[in-house]
Amino acid sequence: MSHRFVLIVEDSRDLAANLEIACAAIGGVEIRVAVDGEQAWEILQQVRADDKVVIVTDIRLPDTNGLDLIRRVRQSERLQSAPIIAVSGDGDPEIPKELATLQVSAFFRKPYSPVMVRNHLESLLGASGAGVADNSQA
Amino acid sequence: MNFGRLSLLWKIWLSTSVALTAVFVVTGYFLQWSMQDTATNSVKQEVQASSKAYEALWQARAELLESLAGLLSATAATGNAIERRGPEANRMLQLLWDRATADVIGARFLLLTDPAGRVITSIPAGEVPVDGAGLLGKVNRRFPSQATGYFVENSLLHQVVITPLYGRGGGPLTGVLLAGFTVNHGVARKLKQSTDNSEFIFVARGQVFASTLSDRATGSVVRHLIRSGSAGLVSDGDYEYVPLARGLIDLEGKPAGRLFILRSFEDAKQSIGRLRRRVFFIWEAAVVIGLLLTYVAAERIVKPVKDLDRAASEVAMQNYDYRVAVESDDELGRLTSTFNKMCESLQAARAELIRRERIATIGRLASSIVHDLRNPLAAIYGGSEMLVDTEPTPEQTRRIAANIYRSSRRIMELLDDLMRVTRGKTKQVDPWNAMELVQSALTGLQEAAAAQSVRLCLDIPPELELAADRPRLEGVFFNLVQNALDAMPQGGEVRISAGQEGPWVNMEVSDTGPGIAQEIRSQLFQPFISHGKKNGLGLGLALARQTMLDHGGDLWASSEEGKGARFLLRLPRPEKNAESPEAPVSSWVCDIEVEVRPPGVPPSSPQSGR
Repeated sequence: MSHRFVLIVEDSRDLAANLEIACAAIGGVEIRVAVDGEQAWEILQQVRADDKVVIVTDIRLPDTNGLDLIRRVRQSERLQSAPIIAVSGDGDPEIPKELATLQVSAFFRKPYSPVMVRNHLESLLGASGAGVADNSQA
Repeated sequence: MNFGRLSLLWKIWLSTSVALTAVFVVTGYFLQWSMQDTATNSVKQEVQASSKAYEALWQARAELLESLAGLLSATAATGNAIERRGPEANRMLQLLWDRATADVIGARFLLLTDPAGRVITSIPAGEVPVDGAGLLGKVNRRFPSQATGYFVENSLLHQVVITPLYGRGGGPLTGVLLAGFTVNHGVARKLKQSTDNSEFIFVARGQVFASTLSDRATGSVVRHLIRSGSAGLVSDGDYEYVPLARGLIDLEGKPAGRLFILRSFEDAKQSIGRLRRRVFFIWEAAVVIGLLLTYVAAERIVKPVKDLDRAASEVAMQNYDYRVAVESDDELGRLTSTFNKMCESLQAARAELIRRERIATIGRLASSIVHDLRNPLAAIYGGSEMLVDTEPTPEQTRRIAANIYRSSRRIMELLDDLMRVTRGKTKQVDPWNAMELVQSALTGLQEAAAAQSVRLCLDIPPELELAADRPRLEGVFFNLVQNALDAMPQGGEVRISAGQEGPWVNMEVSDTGPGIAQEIRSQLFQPFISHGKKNGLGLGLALARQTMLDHGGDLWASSEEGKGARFLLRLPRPEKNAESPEAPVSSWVCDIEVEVRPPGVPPSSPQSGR
């Protein structure tokens, strides 16, 4: 039986807690929280080949850019097909375009609804198909 | 001495003295030269005149002897004397000779001889200083002409006139009269008197027979004259003379010796010395007056330069309001007005820069607020949505509620910071002891400083007071020192010094950290720009500067990369402190102890972000 877990990369403790609580409703999923890119990468190193992992990451991180983290994930052989959801408070219109080229499944602009993020996560954990959905207007 | 290090006034002074001295040296040299020339010529003329006077005197003497000889030859007494050779005749001759030569100086003598040169009678009687026969042998070929000349005999120099005596009516030679005198020092002195103090030296056969100079002076003058001739000046070791040489002729017309006539150059030398002293005195006076005049002129020249210097340093401290009064229409006046215009342009450019900066600041403010508010807002939004739309467990509800509370607190803090930027004016300014205020401001940082082995040194005069809104000013020091601590994780030293200067209290916070990088220096005090810091709005230094400006002071950075950061603070002096003397000897406090905060003083609020 493959292990399923969600990695939340978010430096704001409160936002991470909200997402954690929202995701707790999904059954059979382990939720891990990282406060910066380095910690996230360490956690990802522990992922086994047959694990199902979904990453939710902020774009602005204390030590690195969320986009860099995503690129690193995409370059990794084991993780390149892992579904990714990006969130950001930044209004830069370039970010969604950049995310599209990195096959990010969804992008939520802050303030976002944790419930909608959870719903999206559920669908991603069910299916493994990629495709960008920009839910920022939701 | 390095000319470049002298002040302008000294340079001008130095130039004036050098120029004046040069002019006086040239003029003085020329004056001395021309005076010496004139004096030499005039003394030469005097010596010529003395020579002529000597000649005339000698001529007169020869004529006297000649006419006397003529007279004697014609008198009966002479005939009788020759014929009878009696004492009677001798007395007659003596009488005549004495009368005729009463005013002739020197040892005079008269010989009456027969044609063979045998002495018939002599005056003075019995003493015959000359060999009459020998002399006649030299001159008798020239008879009946008279013969005159010098000769040396018995170690004496004589001048003699030899006159042949003939019988009445052109008869044969009956006798010879030898009239003469010995040339001795008395003769020379007489010559000196009659020529207004010219010196006379008679030399014959390499020997001095008469001189008006001392033996030593005579010796050295004669040696010099015989060796080098009589051109130019001659010195006796003490005095200088202009010389003139004449030949002495013997009875046969051959050179018998030399007469040197000397005229002292001492008077001329003294005049030249007087002239030199006068020129020197006038030079001194001219230099003093020149320096005084130059000082007056230089003060006027240097003053605008000093004013400009002061103004430029004010501008360097970003005080663009400073203007220099234009007092002249020359190059300096134009420079001053150009400087003033430059300040105006700078001021205008700065105002424009500030205006643009303000617009940019508003832009940054907007995006900074948007970004920093989004996180807590997202937490509140998401949390409240979950509370409404889902059914969380009581535990989850508590966590969500705590999130919402924390996030709204964070929003409040951010808004407080913003308010502090926009609030501006300081409420209440009171005089506080500077040392106490700074110590109190640093209380919260003692532990951190000790933990990273940073020494805190205070160099503040114990009596110094600051006019301050205390909590805000404490915040400034807290912020600056905290920044310094952040910059020195490996340890170092933070030094806070203060002192009064004119109407200001100047303070300095310096550290031994890496300094402020050139690229961020220009934006150091702009709000919402944080350099390499994770948290905060980037308001720390902007707020600190605003605080100093609100106090009527200023804050600026002076740092060279790699030499530590230096922040300079300036506050107006407290009013009641205005008459107190200049700052007393400063006290040193290193590694200050934690001070007990006086009651009623709130703890300074930490402000972060450089």
